[in-house]
Amino acid sequence: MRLLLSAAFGVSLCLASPAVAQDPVADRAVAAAKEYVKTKGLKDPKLTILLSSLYNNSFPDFAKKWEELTGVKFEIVPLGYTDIPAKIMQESVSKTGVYDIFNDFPYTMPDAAGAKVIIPLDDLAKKHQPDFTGIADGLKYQQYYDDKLLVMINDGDHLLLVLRKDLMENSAANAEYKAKHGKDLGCPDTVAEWAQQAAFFQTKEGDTRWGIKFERGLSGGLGYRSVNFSYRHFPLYMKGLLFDKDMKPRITTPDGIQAIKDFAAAVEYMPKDIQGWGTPQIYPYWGSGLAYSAVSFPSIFGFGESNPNSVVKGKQLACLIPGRMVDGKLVRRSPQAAGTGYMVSAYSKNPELAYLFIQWLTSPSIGDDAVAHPKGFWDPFRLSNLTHKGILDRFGADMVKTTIENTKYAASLLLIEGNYEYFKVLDNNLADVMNKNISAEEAAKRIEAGWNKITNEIGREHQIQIWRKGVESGIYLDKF
Amino acid sequence: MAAEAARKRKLRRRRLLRAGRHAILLGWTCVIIFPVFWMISTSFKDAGEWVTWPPHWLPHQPTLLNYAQIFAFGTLDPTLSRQATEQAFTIWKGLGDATLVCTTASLLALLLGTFLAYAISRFRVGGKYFRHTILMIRMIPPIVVAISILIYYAIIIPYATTALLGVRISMFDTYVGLVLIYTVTTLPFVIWMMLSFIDEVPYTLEHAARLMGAGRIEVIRRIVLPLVASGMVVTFLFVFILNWAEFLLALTLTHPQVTTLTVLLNKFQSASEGRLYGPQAAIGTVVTIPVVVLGLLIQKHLVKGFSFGTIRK
Amino acid sequence: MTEANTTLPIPTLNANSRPAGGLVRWLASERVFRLIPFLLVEGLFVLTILVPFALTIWISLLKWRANRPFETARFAGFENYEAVLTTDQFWLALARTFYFAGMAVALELSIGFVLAMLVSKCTQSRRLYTTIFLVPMMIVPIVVGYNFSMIYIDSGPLNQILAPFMEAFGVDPRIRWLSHPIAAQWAIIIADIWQWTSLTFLIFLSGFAALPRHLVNAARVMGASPWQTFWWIELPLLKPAIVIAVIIRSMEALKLFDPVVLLTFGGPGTSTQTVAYFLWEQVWVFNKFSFGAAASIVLLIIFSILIFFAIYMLIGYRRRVEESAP
Repeated sequence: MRLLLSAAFGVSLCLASPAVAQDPVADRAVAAAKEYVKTKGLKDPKLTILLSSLYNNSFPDFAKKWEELTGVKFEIVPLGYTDIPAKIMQESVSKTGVYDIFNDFPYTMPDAAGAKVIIPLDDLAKKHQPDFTGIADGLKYQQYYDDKLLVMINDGDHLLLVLRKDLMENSAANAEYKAKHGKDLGCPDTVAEWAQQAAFFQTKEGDTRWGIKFERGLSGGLGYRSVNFSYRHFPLYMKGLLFDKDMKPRITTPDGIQAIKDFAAAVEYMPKDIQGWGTPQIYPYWGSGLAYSAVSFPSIFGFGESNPNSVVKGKQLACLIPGRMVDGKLVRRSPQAAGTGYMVSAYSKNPELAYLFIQWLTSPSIGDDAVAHPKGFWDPFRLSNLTHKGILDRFGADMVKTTIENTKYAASLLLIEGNYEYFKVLDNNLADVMNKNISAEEAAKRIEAGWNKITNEIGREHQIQIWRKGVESGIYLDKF
Repeated sequence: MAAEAARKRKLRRRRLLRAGRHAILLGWTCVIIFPVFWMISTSFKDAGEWVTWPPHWLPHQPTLLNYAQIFAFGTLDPTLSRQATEQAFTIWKGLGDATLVCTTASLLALLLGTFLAYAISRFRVGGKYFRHTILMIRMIPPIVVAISILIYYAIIIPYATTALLGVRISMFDTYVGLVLIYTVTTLPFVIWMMLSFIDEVPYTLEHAARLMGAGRIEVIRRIVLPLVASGMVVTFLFVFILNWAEFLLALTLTHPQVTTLTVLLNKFQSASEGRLYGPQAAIGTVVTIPVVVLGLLIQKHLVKGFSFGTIRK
Repeated sequence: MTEANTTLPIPTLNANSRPAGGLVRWLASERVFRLIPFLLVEGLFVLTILVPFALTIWISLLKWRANRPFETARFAGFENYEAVLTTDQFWLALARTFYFAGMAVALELSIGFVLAMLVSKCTQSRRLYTTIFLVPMMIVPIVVGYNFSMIYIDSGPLNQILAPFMEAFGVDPRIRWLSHPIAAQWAIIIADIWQWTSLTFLIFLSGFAALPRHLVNAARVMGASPWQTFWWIELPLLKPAIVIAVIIRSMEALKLFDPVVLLTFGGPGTSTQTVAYFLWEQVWVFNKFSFGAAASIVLLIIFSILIFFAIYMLIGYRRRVEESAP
């Protein structure tokens, strides 16, 4: 079935290309690429991409299409996404020039920019005019760092809340919940409400509630709590920015400490060893119907709908990310937890050609086709996705609508140099709190100390400048 | 009568002791076999059985899917692929690279090491305690070596070649680079082991041959080498096993152009990519069996070699 | 000394062997010939070990992390060393490494000793037990790590075996060993013990095998009890083996890295971070090259002190054994 789908998709891509490519952005890129090859007299033009291995089964289709349109071949070097940041930094040191394009999360971009292993694309963008309309600010300005365009994204990996519609609409459950908490079940507005619902639905193995026997129990909620993932979910609980105007960590404020406490308390209604779970554990668990809710990458919805072993097909409800009450107003923040970005290597022999491919891939038409690809991991993020048939078919109209609505609240994680180090400090201490080794206050103190150390090492003045620019541009949505 | 009873008591006591002894030894045998058994058992389990509670000691539905996956060519076709997140983790590249690198490095080390061991044994090259100090190389923590070599391969050598030859050559993530460092780190072992073998060949034989007019190379080739040939095989296998199992240097200095089996196994371990226990177990089994077989072949020499000469004399 | 082959090929000077030319004769002369391999190997070591070390020292004197191009790295003197020596995590990791090594080696020695003693007393099954007990040593360490990671999961066989005891105390048997700091540490120590007891076993086995029987028999004849024979005769004779085992295993155990990467990634938080893992993380995850270089030099100095001590003991014991031999 999968094979048929992707074959059909590949065919449709080929067939549709001459007719559908009314997209001037993509056309410009193709034409300019052909021009470039001609003027430079390149005999056998080739681009090499360091590709995240997640896209092994989807990217080659687009590489092939590009080759058909422009004659430029592609060499794909897949690498696990945990290895790519190191590889990019090593490239900055060894300068082999093997890669033209780097495919990675946008979060590697600051260090790469500092190491000058990627080039600013502003001039090329001015020349070839990409199109960023329809992309929410939080995502659009993630492509910039220090006022330069450095990465182009094609993915909305902002966190989404998915609920079990069948359980939520169960009248007996509803009645009990209303009696207990005075509200109806539904998409929770705040994180506290979500926690409440999750605690309510937490069921032990073998118990029967509302006429349903939960053989293997029911987890109230799912979220990522492992090292290398906690930091992506932490902003949900943090009111406001992580640093103040002078790069002083706000983690030791009462808000910060409360955020740590809430974050750690959530494991009460998650599977017992959630701290060791990654996507390959969380997704199948959700797909087996063992949890009531999940905050995760949007692709979990697609997984629930299309995975052959999934029993939650048709029972999912996508909700906006729950927020926090700040000064009496509801403030939602959906961390852009990952994302797919494309950068041009500073040691590429054909940087303009590499840029043109990226412009083509992230253009409104091709980019949307990518999101619609059944085996890809590009998630909806552009307004035009609301009317793209392939995307609606793949994700379902409701989900697409909610995701696009959610992009209004998409906020970037720390986009400064050394960010992976900052994240590690946060993760390690959160893990300690979740294991009840240290208190939240102690963790906050340690995080503050660790972060200050990193800031001082990289250069406080420099970091303050970059931080202020970032906040100004609106990628974190919050302002000082 | 009393003597008879005493002897019976002694006999029973002896039997009890022997039973106790075997009980302890069998206990340890179980401890040893258990993880290996678990790995082999898991390699035949399908995804549903990897993390069940209570765990399945033997697969309830044995499958060859894991082995099919790791021995597949190219990307997985849909029948073999379990989820959208699964990648094509086949063993071929890891196997090929590991075999190439380990064989070359071991042969190179064997060649150079035997040569030097001969010189040390016959000519006392390097002084009386050379054979001990050369083992010092082995005692440097490999992470220190890795950091130095990373800087060397990835920065200095490219700078040097750019300056001198105008061409940028990086040794980072290359076959030559890894083979070189493997050779250097296993040379001490080769020298140490070949020394013990060459020491056993009496110099009088060579002396006699030299007196009869044979050249140096001929003497080595015709007299010494045949006598230490089995020793060379043992040394080669020992060093091969060491290189095969090596992880830190391969992890830090190579990938993805060069990927050894140990690094490939680690790819299954990345906490965010998740634990694909089945294919990992299959690769583990495939990696382990030949090495264990080889190791058992040279077992006798290991026993002798690890006496380090202090006992023999 | 083993007996040489009875049929020796005696080379003779015949028409096939040409008289050597001048250069070849110089190379074949005693002085030069013995230096060729020496120079080759030493040259290799210099190029591949000494030069990189010199460079590492140079890098450690610069201020450089990968998010700045190498060209902008400036001279920083001992700043990095200061940073390393004041980084708590480094010292904690070092202390932890010593702790792991200490525990692991102590247990490996004890278990290996007992096993060797028992096996050496066996007559028929000695070969069989030796063969089986050597297997863990030959398994690729990364596979060992992986095996244990499977056994330690909360729905793993270890918990299943311990379940009756746990349930008796009212504790939920599905323990996440690797998520608990102390348990994770012991998980790594146990994995190390499982694999390397084979080595201590091997060393002690040779030791036991080489015990001079006549001394033991003489003691028995003179009425010594088995315990007395053991304590006063066998144990002292085994001292060299014990020393060797301690030195070799300690040196290796201090480099602990593979199981940490495999099992815990430094553990819940940093509770299983060994010093090798710490260094690896600094350079390969955070790209702090000059910090990592400084840390590796510091580590090298610490290890050198230990190595010198070890070599001294090794040579000392060797000399003592040589002197005491009849």
